[in-house]
Amino acid sequence: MPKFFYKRKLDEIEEKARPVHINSYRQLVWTKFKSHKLALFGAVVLIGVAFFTLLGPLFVEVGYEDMDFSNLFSPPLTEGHPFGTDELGHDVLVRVMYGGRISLFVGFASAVITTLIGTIVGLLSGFYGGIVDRLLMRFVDVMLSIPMFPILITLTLVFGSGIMNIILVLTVFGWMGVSRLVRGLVLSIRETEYVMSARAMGVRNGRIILRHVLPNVIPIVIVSATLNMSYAILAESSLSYLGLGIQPPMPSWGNMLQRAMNYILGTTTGTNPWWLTVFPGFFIFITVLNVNFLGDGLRDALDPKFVSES
Amino acid sequence: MERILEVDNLEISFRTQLGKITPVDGVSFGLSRGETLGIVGESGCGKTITAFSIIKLLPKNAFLGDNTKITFRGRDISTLSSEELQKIRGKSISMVFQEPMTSLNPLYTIGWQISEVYRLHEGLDEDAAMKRSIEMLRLVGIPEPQKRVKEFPHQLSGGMRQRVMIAMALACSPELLIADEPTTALDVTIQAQVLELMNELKNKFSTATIIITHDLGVIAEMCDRVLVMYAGQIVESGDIFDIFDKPMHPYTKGLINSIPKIEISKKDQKKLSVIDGYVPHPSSFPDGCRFRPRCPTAFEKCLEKPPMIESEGHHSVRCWLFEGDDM
Repeated sequence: MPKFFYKRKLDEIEEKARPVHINSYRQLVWTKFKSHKLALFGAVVLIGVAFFTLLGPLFVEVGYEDMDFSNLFSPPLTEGHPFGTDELGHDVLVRVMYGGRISLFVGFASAVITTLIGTIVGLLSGFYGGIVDRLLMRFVDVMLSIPMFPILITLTLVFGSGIMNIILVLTVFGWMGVSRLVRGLVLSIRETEYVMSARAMGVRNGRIILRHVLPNVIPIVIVSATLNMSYAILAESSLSYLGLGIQPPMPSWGNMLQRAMNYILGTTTGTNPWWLTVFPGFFIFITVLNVNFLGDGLRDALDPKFVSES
Repeated sequence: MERILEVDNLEISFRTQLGKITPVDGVSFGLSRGETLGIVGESGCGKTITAFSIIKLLPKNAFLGDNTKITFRGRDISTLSSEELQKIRGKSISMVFQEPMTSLNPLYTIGWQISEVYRLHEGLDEDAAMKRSIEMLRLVGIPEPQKRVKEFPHQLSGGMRQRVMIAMALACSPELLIADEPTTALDVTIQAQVLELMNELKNKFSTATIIITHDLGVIAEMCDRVLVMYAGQIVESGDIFDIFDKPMHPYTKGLINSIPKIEISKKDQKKLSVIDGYVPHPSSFPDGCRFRPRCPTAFEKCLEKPPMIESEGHHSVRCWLFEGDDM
């Protein structure tokens, strides 16, 4: 065989053996995120849910308050009511769409805000240590020891219940966990040699916190943010249960579930309206699950050392 | 030779639960341009905090003694504001750390990390800084630097990472380089390469260098002068030939004797001599000579604090055995 054949073969092998060079961190994160099937799936489902709740109501003429008295407790696939109706003849599909707007907004907003506050407190506390740490952590202890529900009841009595108040309460009482988590991480990152070496290179404290410490806690923070989002969606429903959450007739996934509880053993007429619990429950379930998938994928993608097994 | 660093009567204390402890006291030395000083001693002798004190990187509970004076290029380090210090760190004085595996931030490419130094100290924009970083990587002998800059620390071997650290440290051609056990974590062949590289670069930039190590081999390879430290004090100092050819302090002799020698034939093999015991904890330094409990030649006089005794040349030793010898 001619010599050039071997030469070409060698070039080919060399080409294959050369490590892939990735141009930037952002590109690396995106490449890895794309290869994380579950996270991609989670992202697609969440976008789907978001579109469903945001755009869905535009395509139906019925509002969430409209009642169809000829159809009380009608099961799914009844004419005009694909998800059935509830005890007042509200269309469940429409209420799930409107309720999703509220649940997603409450979940997302309180997750973002608690994570933000918790991360800032944790960074300051862990990095500066000493008196700053002691003050902030004692404040966290105080906040943790305040019983949430009596305060909630008082607040709703004073300010009334509404989405903003719920978000306010969930964030005021929700950031402490993140701050403790972040503080613990920062305590160990602060002592690492790369932070020491950044200091020896003359990097300012502020820059060390933002460029060297923060990026290293972000993967964990993201996971805890997704957990917070799940928690907030569920907490909103338990607040509704106490009559402190979103008030009917305005729907949220939480208060739909809570009202369905009354009929969980069946109605006076003997039917068991399972669709009242299954549909909002299913949406809470897939949202929380996929938020967690997404968070998992983001964490793996943000850590350059992590190489997926697939 | 132009003196660039003068450390006078260095005393470092810590406030701890045990009360005040003073792991380093009475350490004085100086350094001229282009000179290499080795600080050698066992673990826990105070070598590393001595080095850290020069750029004020001590932990928060540490403080310097009243008579301590550290002068860098004629300026007293202790009077500098933290902004002035930040300008010195990484530009005029830089450090190479012991652990190349953990000294680089895992989240950034090595190019980003080297260019951070340029962006901070020379105000270069991203592209210019990256160009200089590639140059610097080429200089420390990293093949295909334009590709390597885009890699993350975990994609490099230990030796490569240490080269990157050296590149970062020398990026702004500092006047003083402090290398804290630069080769301890590397295997022997890589050690030799890294030492050779450091020798080459320090001659090129005529950087004054302080090398902290417990490896006398590294000292022999690199240094002009040596400080032997024990329990926070200098016990012997001199030029490299004095220390290796005519060691005086029993501790120095012990260190030299405990270097393993490669002997294959049975009759040449001797049991490796060791120095018995451990370095005492700073909270319980013995009275008098601190080496006394471990010293094979200790006598009654050693219960008193030995002074630094000047021998011929710049060779001096802290040991009563040499009292009145050449004074």
